[in-house]
Amino acid sequence: MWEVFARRKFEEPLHHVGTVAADDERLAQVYARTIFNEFSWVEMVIFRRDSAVRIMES
Amino acid sequence: MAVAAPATDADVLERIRSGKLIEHVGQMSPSYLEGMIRILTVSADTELISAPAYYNAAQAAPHLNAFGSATAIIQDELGHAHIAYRLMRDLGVDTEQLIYERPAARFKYPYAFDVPLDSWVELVMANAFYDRAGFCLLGDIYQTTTFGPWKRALVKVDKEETFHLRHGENWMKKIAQSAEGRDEIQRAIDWMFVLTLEWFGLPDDLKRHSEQLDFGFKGQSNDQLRQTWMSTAVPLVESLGFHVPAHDDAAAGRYVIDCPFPAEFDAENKRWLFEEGPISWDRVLERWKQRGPMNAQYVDTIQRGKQGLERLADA
Repeated sequence: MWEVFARRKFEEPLHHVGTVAADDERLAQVYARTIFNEFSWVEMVIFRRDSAVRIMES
Repeated sequence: MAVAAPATDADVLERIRSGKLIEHVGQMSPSYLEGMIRILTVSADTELISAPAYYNAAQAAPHLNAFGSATAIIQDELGHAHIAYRLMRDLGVDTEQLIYERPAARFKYPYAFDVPLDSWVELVMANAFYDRAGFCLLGDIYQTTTFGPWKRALVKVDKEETFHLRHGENWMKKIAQSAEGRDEIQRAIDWMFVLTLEWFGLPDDLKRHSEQLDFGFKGQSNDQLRQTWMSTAVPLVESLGFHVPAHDDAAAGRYVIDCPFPAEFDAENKRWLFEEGPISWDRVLERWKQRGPMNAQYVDTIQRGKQGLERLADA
């Protein structure tokens, strides 16, 4: 499972835009790029969900 | 098939009342989880099945640019389906089984998609009517849902559905400039308008899943959503000089349906049998359960690619 972050403008921080399920990194890249194509982002990155270290619970 | 939901209904309601959203299955009760899976399944299946339905008609696009817009819409719909199915994975649902192994008749999307879209006009009317219905339903869910991950995901979905229904409206205006185009649009409206009224489901006095409102899965009732849809669909068609069997009763503050509803539908000929008068919702449920002419073909279109790949891998 992968968390997708992106930003539209250089002065903006990255923000969470969604998640994708993919078996490997290459496929996750394709899914993130094609599913979350609602803007012309200046940057998009993905992280493995299980790499997150939870500091507080929602 | 789902993971354990350890909370009680009282826990869920208390969390919602305190202004928090439900973030994961650990905060759900079994009935919240079951209801959320049910509503997510309908949403995901509807987005997914719209892809083969729209693709069939997109092949009748009048030129390459038009085909490009239609395939962009189809890509959006598949993205929306991916988002909803992926949320269901977090709820413990085996989505591979759900998508690729479920019998066609058990898919849970509106009956309207089981009736083929055979032309470019019918595709753009589907954008104008069906995507508008999706926009009303998902817009309401976005406003009121208590499931945080879905609420956040719907920001993007809402934006794209707006593009789809504008696509329908713009093409309606363009096609309506010729007499032949106007006739074709009116013929599409005649069967698609009432089919979209059905989309919103049973009237409130017959509705069964009350937890959808109790748990804040959605805000408006089925009848309210039907009114919301008519409040923009009817003015749209009337502004272009087309006719629909519904009118705005300004004194009552609501839209009134002017034909027998629900009614018997001849799916093969895309014709409402209004002359037979209104029928019971039990009869409509029976038709929905039997599914319509395109159900098996659309589901097969989705499932056969994966099944073919698996056969090759096994060979």
